[in-house]
Amino acid sequence: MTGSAESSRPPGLPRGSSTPPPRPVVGVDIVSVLRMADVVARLGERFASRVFTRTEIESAPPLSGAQARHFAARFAAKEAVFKLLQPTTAAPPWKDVEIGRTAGGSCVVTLHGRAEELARQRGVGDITLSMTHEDAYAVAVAVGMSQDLNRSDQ
Amino acid sequence: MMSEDLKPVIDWLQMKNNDLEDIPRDLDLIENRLIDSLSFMEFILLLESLVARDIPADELSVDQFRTLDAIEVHFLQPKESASSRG
Repeated sequence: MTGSAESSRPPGLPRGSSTPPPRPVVGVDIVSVLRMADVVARLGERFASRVFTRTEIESAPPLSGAQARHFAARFAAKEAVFKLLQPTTAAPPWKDVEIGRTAGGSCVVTLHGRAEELARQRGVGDITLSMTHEDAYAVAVAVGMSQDLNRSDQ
Repeated sequence: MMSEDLKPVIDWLQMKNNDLEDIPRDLDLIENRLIDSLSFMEFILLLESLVARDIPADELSVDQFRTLDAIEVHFLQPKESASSRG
């Protein structure tokens, strides 16, 4: 019996262990700052309140250009996290992924609701996030480790 | 034949996608990038204004927006008619 279990052990799995090792998962997204500025200018609170949490809205700078970059970077970050979590049906609501910053300026991802549940299903714990922007585009990269036992590509 | 209810939706899609003249009713709007992630919320707000009700994010499925046919069935037909289709 032991021999059978050992022969089915995935490569890289420590001897005697029954679960595969966690594997890195990554998501990336890019958003046009100009498009975000246009949407925010036309739809304002109607759009923002459906996509961003109260904290994300209140932390936005007041000037329109900086505000568009703020929202574009956070929208890219939410999409990057969705890509990392790989939902098989509908993606969770945008507000289920909240983007914040520490006092030192590092990005912090907080998951709520369906996004939190999806992360649990995927075996994803902490998510590390990096955001950047130029005048025209904002980019975000999300990285985590997944202990998903149900992945078809394990 | 295009329903009158769909006209604002088609107008919006054509405005967002300048090179598009005709949109087949069964064209996959998501796969063909006529609606991307940023325009998706904008599209929901357009639909809300057309149906005069909120469309909660928790109830959304991408398949409900995938084609013009799907949009008409799920959002633009009277509730009784939509539900009678199963």
